[in-house]
Amino acid sequence: MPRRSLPTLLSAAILFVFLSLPAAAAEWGTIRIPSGSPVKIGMGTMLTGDYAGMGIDIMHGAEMAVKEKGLILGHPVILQVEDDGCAGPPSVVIAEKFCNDPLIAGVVGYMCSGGSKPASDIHNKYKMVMISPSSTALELTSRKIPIFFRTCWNDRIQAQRAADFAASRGWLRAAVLHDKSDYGQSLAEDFAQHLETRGGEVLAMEGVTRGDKDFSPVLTKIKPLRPQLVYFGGMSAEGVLVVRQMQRVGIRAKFLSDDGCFTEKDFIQAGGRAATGSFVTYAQEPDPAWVAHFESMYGPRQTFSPQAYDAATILLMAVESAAERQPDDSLLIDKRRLRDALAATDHEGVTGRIVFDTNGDRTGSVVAVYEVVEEGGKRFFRKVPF
Amino acid sequence: MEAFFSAAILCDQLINGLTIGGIYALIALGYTLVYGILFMINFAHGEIFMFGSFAGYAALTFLLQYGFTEQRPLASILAAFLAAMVVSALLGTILERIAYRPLRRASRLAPLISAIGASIFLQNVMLIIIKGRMQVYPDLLHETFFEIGWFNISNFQIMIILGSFFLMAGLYIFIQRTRTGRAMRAVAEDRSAAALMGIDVNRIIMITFVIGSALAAAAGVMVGMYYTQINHMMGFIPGIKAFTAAVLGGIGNVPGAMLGGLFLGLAEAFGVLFMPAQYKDVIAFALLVLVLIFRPRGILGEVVSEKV
Repeated sequence: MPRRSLPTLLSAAILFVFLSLPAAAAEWGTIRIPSGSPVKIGMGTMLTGDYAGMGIDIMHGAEMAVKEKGLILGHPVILQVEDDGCAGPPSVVIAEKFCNDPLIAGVVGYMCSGGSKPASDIHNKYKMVMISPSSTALELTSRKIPIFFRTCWNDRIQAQRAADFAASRGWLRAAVLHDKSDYGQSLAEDFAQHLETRGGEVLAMEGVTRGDKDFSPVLTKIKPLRPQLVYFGGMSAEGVLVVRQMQRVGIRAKFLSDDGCFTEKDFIQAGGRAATGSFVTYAQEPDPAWVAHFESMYGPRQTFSPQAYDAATILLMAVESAAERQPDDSLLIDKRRLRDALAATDHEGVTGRIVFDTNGDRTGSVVAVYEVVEEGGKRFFRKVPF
Repeated sequence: MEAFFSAAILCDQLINGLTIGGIYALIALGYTLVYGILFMINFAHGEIFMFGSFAGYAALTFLLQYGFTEQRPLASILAAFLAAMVVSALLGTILERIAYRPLRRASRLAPLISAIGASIFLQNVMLIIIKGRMQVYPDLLHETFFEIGWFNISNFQIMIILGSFFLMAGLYIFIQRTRTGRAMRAVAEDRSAAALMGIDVNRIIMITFVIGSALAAAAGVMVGMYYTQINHMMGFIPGIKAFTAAVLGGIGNVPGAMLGGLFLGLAEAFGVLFMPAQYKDVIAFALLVLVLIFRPRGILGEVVSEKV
């Protein structure tokens, strides 16, 4: 190794510091929308595959908000939707694509926690804000990622609320099922843990496979344990089959599940009479006037469209307040200012008041419990006073 | 642990296993029939099953609109089965004609890839048709249970078990006793020799696809009625499981596919009693590995030397 003189090293060091200075200042950087170009909002959601129905519902929510906004400081707003497959690998690819698109100001997405988590690392690298309408995994907001926000709740709040509800009704002997996904399993485990602290007893903890249709073997196994309650952490496709098949194998327990099962068509209709009397946890009811307007455009809503609508709305508001119109009509958006504007959101949305805590979780977003009731030949979700 | 092995539980699991096993067997037959003749795995078979289920659904909702299902529930169900079988048989023939026949002389990998492409294509066609929403089968026969000794069985389960056995028996007789069945066996044994004997090989291959697809369609309607909700991805897991069943029984072997399907259904139902339910799929594939280690050609692969 050739020896280097001190001055050379010193000047190299100075040069290094000097070079890295502008880099540090530009760490967050700016987005420049040239005049005549649209401001784009990225969206990652599932468009094909098992939960495409839920993903398309999310897309419609965001689409509605973008259409209503129309223009930001003279620039048209467009929504660019990509299929995130509700999973890590496609979400990461889309995140790279969005973060390297000079016209995208921010992203609404991704749909599933398994996709949002790896995607948020990429977003953090490029400092591009993202608001997930539907990723509820606890860890997403506990990783100190400044650009991550969500308009839904986190799973622990939801699971604890469910356990509190079960305990308040005296259903202490519970069998717990989940769909082995990040989402379902963490809900089930948090539920079980919290129920035990409330004096409950978890008789069984079993996993089922997403996409499977026959759960009677595992339910037949649970039956002799005589649970008072079956808790299911997972989506409606499997949840509704669990409800129906509980009746088939003769389990006379109550059924309690999560927001994945809060869908009129996939849970209540598909469940038929068996769905009556089931309980699910979900957000407070969205604004009924908004729901009526949404359904007149896109048909029956499913689960997360109000959250997606709110996410897109507050993102557009933040973009509008952070963007600076230049003399040549182009827009300059400072990424740091955009993030801060989003973090400072205080907006009355269709899902209630939206204020974020320092981690990007909503404050005061209370999870409510709904029961499937049957009245006058119609079945629907009704909020349970709790 | 004793509670898990009470006679009533074992009987319940036997019914559960036979029900799902019958469905696996019906789908597995399609894999095995095609493999027996073309030596290719028709990976779009799960989607043919899915389309059958949707055709049955369309027929039932159509009849429901005109109130026909109220008066004649059984006739409506038969009509649903018929519609499903016709649509799937057509789809199977079209698939054979445009996705497989042009590749018949290509390397064995080419039709396989074509099949996977067809499978993805069909899933997405249905996704567009139904806009990604789960569809719900109308509840015609309200599920009722009968207690027979230790057995607790519902009318749906009886329908599936009897229906699948009836179809399987019919297929077996068709292949063994009819002229076309004999031609199918001949083509399976040696395609060029059969052609030399004056058998129209293309016609036989078409008939094979028609039969396999119609059986899958019947399974599709059964699944729709039993589990009520159907979507565009419903063919994937049953397709994989039925393929496993076909290989378990000895691919290319008709009684093998029936046996493999029932065996797999029962193994899954009883396996859950001994281990956590998360391992249900592990059971299926572990069985497959074991069978392939000790009997590489499947359970019945060597007992009956001729295919189809």
